Amino acid sequence: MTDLYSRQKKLREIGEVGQLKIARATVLIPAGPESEMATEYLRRSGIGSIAVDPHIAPLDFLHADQFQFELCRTFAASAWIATQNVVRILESK
Amino acid sequence: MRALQECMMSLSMNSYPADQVAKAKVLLIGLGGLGCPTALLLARAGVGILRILDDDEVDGSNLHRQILFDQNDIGQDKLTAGVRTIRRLCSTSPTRLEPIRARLLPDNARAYVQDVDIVVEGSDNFATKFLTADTCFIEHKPCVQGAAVRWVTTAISTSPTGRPCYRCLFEDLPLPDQAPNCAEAGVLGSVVGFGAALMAELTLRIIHGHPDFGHTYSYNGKTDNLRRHPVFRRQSCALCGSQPQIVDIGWSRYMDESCAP
Repeated sequence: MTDLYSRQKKLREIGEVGQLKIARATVLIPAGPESEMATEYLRRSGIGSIAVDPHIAPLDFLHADQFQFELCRTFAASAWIATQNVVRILESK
Repeated sequence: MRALQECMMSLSMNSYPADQVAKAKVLLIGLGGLGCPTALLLARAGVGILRILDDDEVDGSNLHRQILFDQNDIGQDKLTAGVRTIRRLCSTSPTRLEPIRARLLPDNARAYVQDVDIVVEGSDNFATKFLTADTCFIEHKPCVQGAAVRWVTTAISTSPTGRPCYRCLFEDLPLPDQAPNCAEAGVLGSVVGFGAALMAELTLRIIHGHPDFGHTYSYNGKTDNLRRHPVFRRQSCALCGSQPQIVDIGWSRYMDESCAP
């Protein structure tokens, strides 16, 4: 059986311990055009559980001004949400 | 995959006039972590022809970043699985997908590049990256190139006449022991996705006639920094400098295969 997470576990900040943290984590993301793709990347990183919550305030995509095309901006925002959630999980106790 | 489908439904078609986009003929080199979302976005944007070059099969360790594939695709060739997914997710897209099961090599590079308007490269090895850059300059084609390793992803677009070009920035292939071994270094899947969004953005800017040539974009997912830097042309550049040494494509220049699968 191939290890689906082997490439991200190579990261010093993740490893087996970080991957376990990721697997046990629950992530809530705000509803919006970015939520589906953010969910896709989070699911592929092995996150324990992901829920899209329409009641949380939408995130302000920090790098939106670098994207002129809406579909690229939305995709980048999705990847950004997923990335920042993983970073937060790794930083948590 | 249902989430992916819903997402692509919710990504609106871009709001610019479609005529230049519908005429564009794009060559995408590599259907990996960068290539998968780039292909999806360019098909969604409705580029006329999207020709995809890849010769690899899906591996389980790819799936965290290669969003066109799932566990049922393991062992299948990436082109078949990838094109199937793009067709399903972009069923209304006018884009003609042209998968080519091949690797970009010094023997075939000029022919593949000659035949398109724009080249987009998201391969995983330096030999292919330099081969792409050299061929695009020699064939006068604009080029978008992306890379991702660990927490960082970068993208650059270069003009058909260079100045600056990829070699103004990177000069030459790194020695095998200097380059991070792609399999060893690791990468976070969503960081690669961010890089692909940058690549698609730079490609669409070229198609729409307002390119951002000669700048690198670099995103660090850990520090959440996105930087845009100018690349300075080098008079001594072997490719686009005042006395170029690279005027054709020969095998010996691209022998480094340290990061090849």
